[in-house]
Amino acid sequence: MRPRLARLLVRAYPRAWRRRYGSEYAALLEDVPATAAAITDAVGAAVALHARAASKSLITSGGSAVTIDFGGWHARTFALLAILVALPTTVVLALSALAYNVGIPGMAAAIEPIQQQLLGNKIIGLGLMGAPVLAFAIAVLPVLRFSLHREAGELMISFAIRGRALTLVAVVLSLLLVAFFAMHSAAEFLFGT
Amino acid sequence: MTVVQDPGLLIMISLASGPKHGHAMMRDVEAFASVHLGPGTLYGALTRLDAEGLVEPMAPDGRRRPYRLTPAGRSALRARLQEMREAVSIGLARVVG
Repeated sequence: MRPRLARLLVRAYPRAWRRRYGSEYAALLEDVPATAAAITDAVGAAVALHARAASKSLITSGGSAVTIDFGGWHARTFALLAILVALPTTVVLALSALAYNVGIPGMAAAIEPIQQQLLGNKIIGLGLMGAPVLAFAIAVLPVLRFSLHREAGELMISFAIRGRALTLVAVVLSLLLVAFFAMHSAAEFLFGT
Repeated sequence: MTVVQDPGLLIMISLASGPKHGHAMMRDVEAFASVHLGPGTLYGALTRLDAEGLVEPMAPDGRRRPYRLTPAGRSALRARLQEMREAVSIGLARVVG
């Protein structure tokens, strides 16, 4: 069989299988004559292996498996993105704390017009408040793996987190911001401040 | 026509005489069992046997990779052949007797 035809046939196989057996299988295909029977046999086996690979996500004891895995995403990049998303809210809150809570002289007067302009715009205001929630989702999704399947007739739920240090930073930052807004809203509701 | 058609069993019988790569297995099976295993059938069965730990790959010889029976594979083959021998003995005894 010509190497080009052998390579073409090997490409019909599942990627994981090709990584393990592709090279030696291509060598075997090159050793056998390119008969219709050999080609049909190779294609048939490729289909069977694809079916077998697909059925691995179907549990043989019955029922289908549901796996939500974001692990292929680049967790560090997503953590950085999350921090960037949460950054404007963090800056606004940090400046407010320095001006009003710490009481740095002249700072309140400096930031007040900017704050009024920002918070006067509903979209920007909502964006600043919603950013921590979005940042949390962006940071957490790439490290989550959720799986629902049947094992020996029992419904099994598994949940795993593959953490990264930067993910933890992004998650803590976004949760702190969310907690701040929650407490601020609660204080406004309870004390009208 | 041969009695044994199971590609996995034919591969294991072939490897019982020593390690072989894919094409050597195809030729050997054709010689001792008159069964022509297609390349896909051969590697489909070999993948399963490998996953079950009954055969194992050896260091590649160029692009070709020989396989050999594992100790578990040899035991499984012996058990399977003994079962077949018992079935043949019973069948012969009934036919002759």
